[in-house]
Amino acid sequence: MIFNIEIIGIWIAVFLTLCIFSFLYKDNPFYKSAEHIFVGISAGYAFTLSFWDEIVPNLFGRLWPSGIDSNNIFTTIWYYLYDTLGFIFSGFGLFNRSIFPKGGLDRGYDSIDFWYLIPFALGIFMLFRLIPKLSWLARISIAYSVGIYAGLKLYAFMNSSVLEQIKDTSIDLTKNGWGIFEDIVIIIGVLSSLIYFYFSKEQKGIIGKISKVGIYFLMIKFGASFGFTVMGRITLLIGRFEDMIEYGKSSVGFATPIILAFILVSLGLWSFFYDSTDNKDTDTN
Amino acid sequence: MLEIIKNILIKIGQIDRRIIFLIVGVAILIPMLYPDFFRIPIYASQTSKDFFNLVEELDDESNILVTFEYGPATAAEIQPMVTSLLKQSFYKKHKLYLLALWPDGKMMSEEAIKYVRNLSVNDSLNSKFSDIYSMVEYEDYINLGYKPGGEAVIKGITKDLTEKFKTDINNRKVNEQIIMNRVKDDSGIINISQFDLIASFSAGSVGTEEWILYASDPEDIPIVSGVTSVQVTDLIPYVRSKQLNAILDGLPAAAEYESLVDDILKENGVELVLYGKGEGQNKMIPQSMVHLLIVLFIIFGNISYFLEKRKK
Repeated sequence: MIFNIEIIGIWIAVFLTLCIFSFLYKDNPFYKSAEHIFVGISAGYAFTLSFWDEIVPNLFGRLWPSGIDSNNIFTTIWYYLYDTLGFIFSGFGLFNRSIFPKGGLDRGYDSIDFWYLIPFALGIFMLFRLIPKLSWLARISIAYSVGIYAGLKLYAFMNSSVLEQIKDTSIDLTKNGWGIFEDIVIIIGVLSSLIYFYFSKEQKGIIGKISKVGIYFLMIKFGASFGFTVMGRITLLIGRFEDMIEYGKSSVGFATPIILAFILVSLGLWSFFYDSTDNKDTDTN
Repeated sequence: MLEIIKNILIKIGQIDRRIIFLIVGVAILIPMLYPDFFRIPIYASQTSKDFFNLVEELDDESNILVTFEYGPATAAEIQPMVTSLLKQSFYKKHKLYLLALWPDGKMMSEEAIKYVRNLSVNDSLNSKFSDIYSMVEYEDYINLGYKPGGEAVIKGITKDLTEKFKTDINNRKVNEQIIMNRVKDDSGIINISQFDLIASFSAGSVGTEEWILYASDPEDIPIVSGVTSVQVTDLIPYVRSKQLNAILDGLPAAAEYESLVDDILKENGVELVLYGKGEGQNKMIPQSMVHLLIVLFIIFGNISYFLEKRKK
């Protein structure tokens, strides 16, 4: 076994997986530490990824593209500002200029797009939430995002998820007997389920009876969803087991059995000497 | 005697949950360690056949947009579907355009290509899949990488793909690659209507539903999807209304589709040696064992519950 960075990564992956699995016994320090590491790394990963894959290419790449001739005064000033940012973000020249490299960013754009100053400003407004006196500025950015998203979603959702689905909730008489029966069942299911969620009238009499039929349809749906969810979770478990078996081989230094033994012994000692919870608050069912 | 059986059944209902976890773990581990002892036949369902047939019936050298909206957490379910689609597509000489709307999707797309490229063929020459079927980057496929923005990206590429994907995963200009000439319209713009099929592999949102809403429905392009089991009940209405042409739902469908693809390759004299994350058929053995176990737990749990209730 050659001990390299990949092997270290594998040992860490095995350790964290088994730490999470240890919750099946009861809440314990291994699980807690793995949980905190996961939350911290996820936040850091999301931040780094958003910055390098979103802000740098889409915003800075359009505002300061490389290969622009600075033959006019305005472009010269604009790129002077870029160089100043580069100097500041390289720790005043102490580190490499990775965010703002010299000469501009090569992200496939060949002209400066000043329209992108608007999202740049809106992005900065978002950060003003941290300053109570200026936090109202963040509302402009939020309003913009909500408005764009609602507008984008409205038409597509109405067209594909509402109108098309209504169109499909009909009896197609050109189908064979079984097909027509299926269509009738779907119509009954849709109407009765909708009536169950109709709260403007007390669910008594005929309305109550129809909504009861709706409940049965909903229960079948929830049952199917639950069954599929169990199936999905078992597959995830199989995926982890697959890795654990792979990482238990000699080529990676028997990572799985060694770490498993370490966690089992440590958990045993912890339960014996330190744990006083006595199964309180540990119901994982 | 009857009383003893009743007491045993009540005791079974009170079994510690940790014992149940252990039994589930063992039920998964044993078939994974000794797969040769647990052979189960795999019969393709109609939905898996529909997916297979749709890709099969496309003209040779069709253009397929393959989208990755999942990560390592759901790879066990979705990766076998993707690798099977890649195998079928390269065998059919389809041209593939891979892109990711999830950050992890980029990694999964690279892994899928690497997996298929390294698949060994069971022959005397010890050939690889890529020795038999052409898998040349920029000729047979291009990996456009990850782009953040979700719905906005889908909406954007319906108008002009290069506006959203300027450079590919290797930082090469997308517009200048030979493979992209196949999907340019008369004015030289690459928009989604130039593709023959969208294949969306998703584990949540942004995912298949957004591809239907913003690309497939408005531009009238056929779409197929491979999704996690959890999503199936939400997407089935789109299959019924034919807005989604075919769906692979969870690991069983992945295994079924994989067996269909492997059979057609075998008919062409190429028997593959599958392994690891890209392989679905062997994973169905522990999956079936645990399903059986859960059914037994539910039956015994209910018997125990009613017996205990009656006793009280």
